[in-house]
This record gives sequence, structure tokens and C-alpha cells, in this order.
Amino acid sequence: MSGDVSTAVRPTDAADGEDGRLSFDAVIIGAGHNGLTLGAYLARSGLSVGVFERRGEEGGGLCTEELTLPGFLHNVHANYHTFVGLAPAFRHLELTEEGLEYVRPEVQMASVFDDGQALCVHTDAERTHASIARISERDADTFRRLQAEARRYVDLMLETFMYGPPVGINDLTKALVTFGLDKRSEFLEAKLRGSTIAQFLDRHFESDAVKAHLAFHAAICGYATDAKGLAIGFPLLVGKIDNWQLCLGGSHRLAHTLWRDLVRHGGLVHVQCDVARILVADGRAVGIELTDGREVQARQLVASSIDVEQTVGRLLAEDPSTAALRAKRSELRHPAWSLFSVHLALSEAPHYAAAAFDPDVDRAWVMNLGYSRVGDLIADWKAAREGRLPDPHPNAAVNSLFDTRDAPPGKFTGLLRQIVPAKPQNGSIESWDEVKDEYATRCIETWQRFAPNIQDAVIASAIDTPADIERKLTNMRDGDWMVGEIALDNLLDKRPLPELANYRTPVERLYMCGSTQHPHGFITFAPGYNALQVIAQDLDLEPWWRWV
Amino acid sequence: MAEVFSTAWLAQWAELINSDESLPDHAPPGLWRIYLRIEGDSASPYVPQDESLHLLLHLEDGRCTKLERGAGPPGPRDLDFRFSGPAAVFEQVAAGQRDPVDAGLEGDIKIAGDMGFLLRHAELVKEIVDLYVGRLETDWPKGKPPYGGEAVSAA
Amino acid sequence: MSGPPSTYDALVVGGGHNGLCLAAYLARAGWSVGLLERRHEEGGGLNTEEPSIPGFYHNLHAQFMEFLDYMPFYQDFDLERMGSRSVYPEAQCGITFADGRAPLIIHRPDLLDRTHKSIARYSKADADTFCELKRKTMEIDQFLAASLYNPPPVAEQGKLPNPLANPMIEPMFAHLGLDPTYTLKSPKVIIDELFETPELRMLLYRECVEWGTPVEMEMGGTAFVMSVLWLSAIWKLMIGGTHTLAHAMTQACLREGVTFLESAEVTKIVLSDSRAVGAETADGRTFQARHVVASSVDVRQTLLDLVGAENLSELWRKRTERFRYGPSHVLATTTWCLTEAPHYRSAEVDPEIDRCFYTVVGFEDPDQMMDYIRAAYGDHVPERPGAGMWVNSLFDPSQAPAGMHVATGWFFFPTADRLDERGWEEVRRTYNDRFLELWTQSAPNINSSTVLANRLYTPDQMDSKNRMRFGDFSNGAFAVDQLNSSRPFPEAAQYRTEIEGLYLCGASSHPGGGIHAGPGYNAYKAIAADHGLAELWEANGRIY
Ligand SMILES: Cc1cc2nc3c(=O)[nH]c(=O)nc-3n(C[C@H](O)[C@H](O)[C@H](O)COP(=O)(O)OP(=O)(O)OC[C@H]3O[C@@H](n4cnc5c(N)ncnc54)[C@H](O)[C@@H]3O)c2cc1C
Ligand SMILES: Cc1cc2nc3c(=O)[nH]c(=O)nc-3n(C[C@H](O)[C@H](O)[C@H](O)COP(=O)(O)OP(=O)(O)OC[C@H]3O[C@@H](n4cnc5c(N)ncnc54)[C@H](O)[C@@H]3O)c2cc1C
Repeated sequence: MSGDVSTAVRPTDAADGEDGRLSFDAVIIGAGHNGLTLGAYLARSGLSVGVFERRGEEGGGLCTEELTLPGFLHNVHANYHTFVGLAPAFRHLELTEEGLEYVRPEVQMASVFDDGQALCVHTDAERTHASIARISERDADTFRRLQAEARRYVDLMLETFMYGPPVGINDLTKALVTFGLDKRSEFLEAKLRGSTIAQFLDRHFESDAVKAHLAFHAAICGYATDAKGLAIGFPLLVGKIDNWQLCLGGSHRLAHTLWRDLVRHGGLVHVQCDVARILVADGRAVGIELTDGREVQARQLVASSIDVEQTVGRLLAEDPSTAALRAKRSELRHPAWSLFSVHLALSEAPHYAAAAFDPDVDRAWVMNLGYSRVGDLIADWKAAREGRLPDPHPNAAVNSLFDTRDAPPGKFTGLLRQIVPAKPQNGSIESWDEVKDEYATRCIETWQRFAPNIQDAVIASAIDTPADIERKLTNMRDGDWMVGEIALDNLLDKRPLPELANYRTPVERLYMCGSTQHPHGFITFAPGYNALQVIAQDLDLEPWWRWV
Repeated sequence: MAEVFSTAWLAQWAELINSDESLPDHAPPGLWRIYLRIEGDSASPYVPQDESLHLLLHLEDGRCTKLERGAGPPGPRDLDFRFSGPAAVFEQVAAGQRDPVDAGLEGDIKIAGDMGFLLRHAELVKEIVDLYVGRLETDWPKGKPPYGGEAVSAA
Repeated sequence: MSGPPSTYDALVVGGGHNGLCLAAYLARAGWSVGLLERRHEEGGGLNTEEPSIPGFYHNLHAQFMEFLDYMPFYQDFDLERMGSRSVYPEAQCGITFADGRAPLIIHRPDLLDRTHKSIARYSKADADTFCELKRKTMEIDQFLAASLYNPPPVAEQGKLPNPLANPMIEPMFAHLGLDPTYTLKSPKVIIDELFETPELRMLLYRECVEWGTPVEMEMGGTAFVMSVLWLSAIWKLMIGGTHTLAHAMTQACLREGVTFLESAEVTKIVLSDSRAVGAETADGRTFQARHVVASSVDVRQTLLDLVGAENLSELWRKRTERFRYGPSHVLATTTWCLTEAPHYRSAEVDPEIDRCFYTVVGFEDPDQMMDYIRAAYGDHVPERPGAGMWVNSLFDPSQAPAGMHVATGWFFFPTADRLDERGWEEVRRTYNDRFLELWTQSAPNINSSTVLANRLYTPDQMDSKNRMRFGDFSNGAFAVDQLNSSRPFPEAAQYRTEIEGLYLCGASSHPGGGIHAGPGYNAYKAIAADHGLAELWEANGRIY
């Protein structure tokens, strides 16, 4: 009997691609949401798409892990999704058909102040008005007008400033004048391009607490309070201030949804594939090489969703057409600040002392712990820029209040996030490893000060420092979670460099499609979507998504 | 005088555009295809509810080479800009009762397309819009907006 | 109404590799399939994470892949095209010693001369015996694989299955030239009778338990052949970690049109007229199955928790309640981030030990090894914390940052219920340090200056992460009365249950735990037979 068994044919290993090599129409570098978004559109356009991702999981910043204990799901990076329903990808890629679910907490965000007062932004504008009015009637009215105005033009703003190739700031201000915007709008004016958010708030609001809350909200959106020119984006932020949504089952689920859409339409994601080189022939991108030496053919295009430094400096290190860009590497703008996160497993939800003032704070999602005046924020920005650890005022969120699946029954996850210097000691990002434990304790203590029951509620914690951000996502160098600073001279058609701003590169058929590009980081789907428009033009693809 | 949205009315509008001497100076070269989707609503007597009027406007080097009603929306490759909104809003604008820039800004008329282009050619846009608003003489046989004082706003 | 459909031809409960396998075949046969997974990730035991420092990847559950060359799922769905890649290390498993004695290293079967050389340092007779047995075993590997990828033999009507009546046993022992009475003996007795070298015995005891076979289990002759002779030293390493295999499996399923329903913890299998017709999830969703509900969750959880004891016959209820977990095969995974790879004292004699895929560390003599195994199979955490260690970054740089190394290892532990929460917490806090002391003795370069971080993942956590009850990685004890035609119990051994339309497809069915996708594949055979689906098996000249 052993005879016939041993001669049985041994099944052969599956072959790789044609002629032993992987080959796709479109090869995309990086499987963050931008790479996946572009990939899914292209796959739906009939191209074969291969996405190559350095990490073990797709998603990039859409990363959910059991950092503390099994059963506790923590969003390691992106937690607040503010473009849900606004980004065209939701319609075009039918994301909810795959089971993606969001919740929009009724109390969107809140501030608890040192004096025991509190303020809440609700999804219901009238309740927001009532909450602000307890602090300042006048500011409540002003905010209501601001929000109403911003809401009216939010669609147009999104279409103009996000979901289309970038416009120039000069064209923009000229158009504002031509259309007489200063006269039509109470809040939007051309001169905002020279103002800080702090100045905008001083101009329109009277109460320190209200201003602090609004500056806090912009800060979580990556907008520094004291950076000149960012005031021009502020009305857009307010237009969607009540659209902060939580991805049920963890942010990573959005990554899964995009991934599935891609694969269902014939694409593939290859994980644990560090791209080492972009292959160029006759000035045209024709494939990539991975660090393990494998080559992947790109029949039509290569798109990079990662940072410029890697794309130009590493992957194209020997390509002559990008030499000029390499020389400009030092001009790429990365902020000196980053984010420090403490993820917690909790036995109870926080109960705030300020609930005595307004019980709604206990059911708020995004919580400002103690920034009571704009100066508190500016001090933090300053400290961060100067490489000092700020006295922590972390923002806090307890997702389990809205998503019971993210923790075991009766338990909760908690997230504290603080603006910090990327390099806390002697200019080194690694020095975070030395200071992180103590700083995490200080962050938790701040929470305890406002929610005393937290003291006994912590079951376990896990820290994520700027150094960890960079270790996990190498495109976020120096912990740059926006992959390029949000500053007026690094936005729109100047982002990341004027030469790269329209998603094309000096290498034919090589595109940039990640957060380095207009508009900027965040879960916007926009860089991927905008790169698509340019690619569609170059490849003469039928733009089935447009006008839908 | 021609009935709003009628063939004669469209011809009148095209003529207005083409009689504007300064337009070709502002206009970018080439063909630009603009699609107006005028969506029937409960207020307008001119476009039945649940139906839409599909108007196609072609501008070539600042001249109107086409302005007509289409049977349906153009294919995705056959247009560069789309303006869409409730019929009553378009009618109010035509009747000079609603500021078109406000209607756009406030989202009552939705604008899609290369917004950078629109911004760069803001003056041209303003001129065309002003033509539509100020000088197009319109007949309102089924009643004139704002239809019993009812304000129409998507906001 | 948006969202995925709520009705499918088949619902599969659990998105581990068995659930994925069954879902893929059912979808290929033309059915609509909804796969319900309670976690946010698919893969179950195919789980790779960065538990301490980002960039250092650790397989928290399954480590080595011994079935890739056999697994029908792998071949039929071209999982390499779907992104799965593996390395086949030359030096497969070894044991190293603190006193710098020669290590013992078993190499890949195609490098038997090296294995021979390593064992012959201690005993030429043992080297001859071992290599000859290994060679002959590999001659019949397809036949052994066929025993996994087919439903177990059906017992004669009205009779209990007799583990020794299996027709494959006699010819197998004859082919190997082994005394047929070995079928009755425990692997330990067999190992002691066949080999004289204490170092080799230690390594083989460990190999035996590695695959879940209790080394002192009587009537363990077949298990000895399977786990010690066949399934050791044919291990592959998944590039990027074992979760990449789950990833490839998922892409295969997606291409077949399987719908993934995640964060979907099934709390109830819905019956109608004592037929399984759907499933309810913890968050209140319900899904309907036109033909089949298949559960990869173990039999106790499936029948007692999801179906409900009240819906079972007296016999099935009793049988299910008597299904046991552990004590075999309960592991803790120890994870280490290192600035350099271990350099062992024993490497002075044979440098290959520093490039060995799996290295047993911390045991100096067979008694220590047996004390350890007995403690773990008894009810306490072994006193002496020896381990088996993998340094995957030696073969796959993507698992650690450039220039760094990642080491992952296993401790055998008692079932999760043997300690309370505090007890396990204490173990997590202290056991790694105690192991490090032993590790340093064998590999002096591994010490506090080369260890960046470490973490221990304990059986109670495996239970809470994957619902692998009590941390029993086979989803039910490996014991003669729970194997083959008796797994999980005789009446349920053909993947069908007494509830019409409800099938079992997880590791509590034959052939048990391990990343072979045997239960999922065999369950497909059963379902296909019952529902007239295509016979997708025995493709590519495969004999199973
Ligand atoms: C701590 C933190 C908190 C945040 N909070 C929020 C929030 O609440 N809301 C929000 O909207 N945004 C938030 N963000 C920002 C958000 O995560 C990013 O803007 C978003 O992930 C950018 O998406 P992307 O697709 O452009 O890039 P990424 O998500 O960074 O994806 C890029 C991918 O490319 C891969 N890659 C890098 N190099 C290579 C290579 N050489 N080869 C192959 N692959 C490579 C990376 O591994 C990564 O997966 C946060 C970020 C951080 C770090
Ligand atoms: C520490 C450890 C090391 C191991 N090492 C190896 C190895 O090196 N090589 C090897 O081959 N094997 C190894 N194994 C064994 C292997 O991992 C398992 O046998 C295998 O994972 C079983 O696959 P499965 O699909 O049957 O179940 P699992 O992989 O356990 O998957 C079951 C899935 O079902 C889900 N689930 C549970 N309950 C429900 C519910 N009510 N509703 C919805 N979903 C549910 C779980 O979340 C899980 O994802 C190891 C196991 C462990 C624990």
C-alpha cells in the first residue's frame, strides 16, 4: 500500500503572476484609506489593482487594536470621522452596503472648565445654543449665526476646497471679492487669510470659555490656534462641527470596508510588503520593487500614498527626473508637534464633577479637559514647538458609551490625547520612551481631577507616543500625523510642494495620492479621490462617479 | 418675451450671451459644457414634481454655441459643470427675486465641476449669471414666483 | 435600506481559518454565504499583533505552518496569488543547553543528512533510527494527509468506534517497520524504547506535546507517528506573520462573493421546526439561512450556548456536556523585542542552532522536561519556566524593525480556570523575568541590555480573545475518546448534528486543532453530499 501512496502526485505550489511576476494595471503604494479609496475607484473602473502595504494590516491610520486587554478595541490613530456622508466615496463606493455603520453621538463634544462650568455641542443646534447661553447669551447667538451660515455653504466649500484639485489662495481671495462675499457673509471674508483662529474668535466672541472650546475643536482638527491664515478654514470646520461620527466596531472597520470593495472588484492588497523602489523606464513608472527583491509590474500607473521623502528620496533615489525635488526635501513642512495618546481599559465610564452643572457632559463624546481660555491652548502649542512637555489638558473620549461592541459587557474603553512636542528631549523623538510613563500618569491625573471616579476605574493602559506613530506608520515621519503641516503656505496648490500639488510627478504615470496632497491628512478620502480625477484624465477613464 | 424654459426663451438667452461684446475677452479658450438640472418641486408650475429639466449650455471661446433642452442628463464625459437645484429657485433667480450668488453659496443651487476653474474665472461667471438675472425677459403664464409668497429654500 | 443582505444560503459562524475555508468552498459551489465573526478581525488563531512596540510583530496564536503543502484550501484558492508567502527554514527544531553541550537539531526532511549528523554527535544508533523513520514517514505523507482531509471512518451501525480498528493503522506501522503493539503505548514509552539519548528524548517529548498529543497518552502510537514523525520539522514560517494567511484566505473568500459580517457575535442559532434557520447576534441583528448553518465554534458552545440544551435530545445533551477541554495543549505566548538575535552557548559546537526555526531553551535533562509537562497537564504553572522560542526575524526581516529581532515563544500552562484573574496577572508580571534568567544562561547575549520590551499572553486571555475556551488550543482535549470517529463524540463525528441544517466545522471536530482547515474542508464534503453541491475536492490529482 505504501507504494501507491508515495507515488501520489504532490500538488504544486500556486504560481505567482504571469511569467512568475505579479502584474497589475495600477499599483498603489500604501493601503491607508487614501490608497484604498483610489484603488477601489480604479477597480470599479475595470482596472486590475494591486495595493502594496508595508504593515500587516491595511488601513494606515484606520487602525483598531486590542492594545490593553483582549476584548477592548482601541482606535490607535484616527478616532473621529468627520466626513461621514460628506465624502463622495460614501455614495460612490456604497460603503454602508458592506455593513459599515456609524453613530453620531447626540452630545458631540463638551468642555469641562476649571471653575466647574461646562459647555456642550449637541447635534441639535437649539440645545447647543442653550448650553452656550448659560455662559454667554451673546456668544450663543453669535455661534448660532455662524453655524447656520457655515452649514449653508458647507457643501459648496467641500466641493471647492476638498473634493477637487486645489485652487490657489489668490484665485480664492479674488473670487471672494468678485462675488462680494464680505458683504454677503458675516463671518467669511478675504482678510481671514491673514488671521489666526484666536483673532477670529476674539473678533466675534466675548467669553473665554466659549472661545477656548471653539479653539479646542479646531485644534483636534489639526488647526493651531495661533497660526496665521488658518482662520480662513475655520468656518468650514464649524460647518461640520456636529458631524463627528464613530465607526462602530472600531475605525479599522472602514479600512476593511474599503479593502473588501477593492477585492470584490478584482483588486488585491498585499500586506507586509515594504516598497523599496519605483521602477522607471523611459521616464515612465512601470512597476515597483519590494524590499525582498520581488518586482511588480504596473501596466498603466503607479500611485504613492506615502510621504514625499520616501517616494522621492528612497523609492526614486536614482531617478534623475526627480533630482530637483530631492534637493527641495528640506522645504517639506512637518510640524514640531504631534499627538500623545493613552488608551485605557475602564471598569466604569467617567462621571464628571461638572455633571452637577450640566448632566449632559457625562454623555458627551469628545471632551475638552480644562482648556478654559484660548491662552491655555496657545501655551501648549508654544511648549510643543519649543520641545517642552505641556501641562496636560488631554481630550478624552469613551467610545463604549456609543458602541457596546468595543469593550466586554459592562466595561469601557477610554482615550486621552494630548498635543505634545514630537521631540521632547534633546531633539530626539526616541526620548519619548523615557518620559512616556510619567507623562501618561499626568494625563490620567488630569482626567481624575475632572472625573474623580476614574481613579479606581483604570484596569489597564497602553501608551502611544509620537515615536510609536512613526514606528507604526513610517510615512508619518517625526510623528507627523497630518503628513505635512497644516499651515497656509503648505495647503492648497502649495501642498506639499508646488511641483507636486496637482497629484502628478515628474515621472510620467506616477501619481501622489496620500495625505501629503491637497487637502491634507484626516479621514477625508479626498487626496485619493482627487488623484483619481487627474488619473482619469490622463488614462481617459470613463468618470462614472462624477455628477453622482 | 418668452415663457420660462421654453425653446424661444432659451434662444433669447443664447442671443443675450452672444451679444455681450466683452465676454470673449474674459472667457477661457476652448469648449465648456454646462449642464443645468432644474428639478421639479411642489412650488413651481413649470416643472412637474419628480421630473427634471435638463438644459445644456455650451460656451466656446466665450460664445454660446448650444443652449437646448436635453432628453436626459448628459453622459459623465459630456459636461464640465453642473448646476442643480429646485425649479422654484431657478425661477426666482430668473425673476430677479433671488440673488444667484447667494443661491449658490447657500447650497440651494448645487455646483459641481472644476471649482478652481470657476474661481479663476469668477468674473466671467458673474457676467453670465447677471445676464440671466437682469436682462432675460421672461413670460410667466402659469404664475410668477415667489408663488403665493412661499419662500423656497433648501436650507 | 442599506447594509448587507440578511438572508443567505448558508451562514457560517466564526471567521477563523476553518470558517473561512468552508465559506470559500460553499461560495464557489454557488451558494450565497454570510460569515459571522465576533471580532473585528478575521483569522481566529491566525493572529499577528504588535503587542509591545510597533514594528515588532508577534504571532499570538498559531506560529508554524505544517500543512501548507497539503491544505486543499491553500491550493484550490491559490492563496499565494492572494498574497500568502512562506519560508521553509532549514534547521527546523532544536534544543540547546546552558552548559554549552552540543545542541540537537532536526532539519527539514530533505536535509536528513544534517539531522543525522546532529543526532550522531550523541548516538549513531539514534541518528539511524530517527532518520530512517522520518524518511519512511515522508513517503506516506499524502496518505497521512488523506486521513485528515476526509471525514473519520463511520463506525459500524450500532457499534462504538474502535480507535484500533482503523484500517490505516496496520499498514502504516508495517510500512514504518514499527512494532504494531506500539499502537497501544504512549508516545513517551515509544520514544524511550526507540531512542537512548536523553537529549533527543527531551526534544521529542516536546515535539509530541507541541502538536497537542499528550506524551503520556496510552493508545498513542498513531498520534506518535502523526505528531513526532510526520508533523515535526516540516514547518513553514508565514512571511509577515500568520495573520497574512488569514488575509489571503479572506481575499479568496471575497473573490468568491462571501459576505463578511463582522463584530457579529452569534448568541443564538435560530431553530424553526427543529431545523436551523438562522442566527442572532449580540447586538440584535438576525440573519436567515436557507439551507445551512455551520458553526466553527466548538461543540459545547455551539450546542449548549447557541442552540440551547433544551433543544437537544437527552443523548446529545449528555454527550455535549461531557465533551472536555484541556489539559492538553494549553499555551501561553511569550513575546520579546530584541536588539539582537540570541547567540547560544551550544552554537560553539553547532552554529546552526542560532539559525534554528524553533529552539527549546531552559531544560537540561529529561526529568525537567517531564516535570514541566506534567505540571502543565496537572493544574499548576510549571516551576521551571523553560520554553520553545521562535526568532522569525532571522528568516523574515519584515517582522521586526531593521536590524532588530523579534522572539516569540511558548510555555505550556494549565487551563485558564486553574488560576483566578489575579493569579494570571501575577504570572504575566513575573514569569517572563524568570524565563529570562534561564534564557540568559543558554544565550548570554540575551539580557536586560538587549531586551527592549516583553509581554506574556496567557490562556485566560486566549479565551477572552478568541473564545478558545480555557485556552485549549485544540478546542477540546486530545484524548483517545475524543479523537477521529469519536470527535467530538461518536454521533457528531460526521460534521452533522441532530438538528437538521446545523453542521460543525471547527477544531472540535476531526481532525482537531491546527491550521490545516481539515474540519472546514470535511464539513464541506458533508454539506455537499447532503445538498448536492459540486464535488470540489480531489482536484490536482489529490487523493483527498
Ligand atoms: C495619533 C493619531 C490620531 C489621529 N486622529 C485622527 C482623527 O481622530 N480623525 C481623523 O480624521 N484623522 C486622524 N488622524 C489622521 C489620520 O490617521 C491620517 O490623516 C490618515 O490615516 C491618512 O490617510 P492616508 O491614507 O493618507 O495615509 P496613512 O493612513 O498613513 O496610510 C499610508 C500607508 O502607507 C504605508 N506605507 C508607508 N510606507 C510604505 C512603503 N514604503 N511601502 C508600502 N507601504 C508603505 C503605511 O504603512 C500606511 O499603511 C490621526 C492620526 C494619528 C497618528
Ligand atoms: C497559542 C496557540 C498556538 C498555536 N500554534 C499553532 C501552530 O503553530 N500551528 C498550528 O497549525 N496551529 C496552532 N494553533 C492552533 C490553531 O490556532 C487552531 O487550531 C485554529 O485556529 C483553529 O481554527 P478554527 O477556525 O477552528 O477556530 P479559531 O481560529 O479559534 O476561530 C474561531 C473564530 O470564531 C470566532 N467566534 C467564537 N465564538 C463566536 C460567536 N459566538 N460568534 C461569532 N464568532 C465567534 C472567534 O472570534 C474566532 O475568530 C495554536 C493555537 C494557540 C492558541
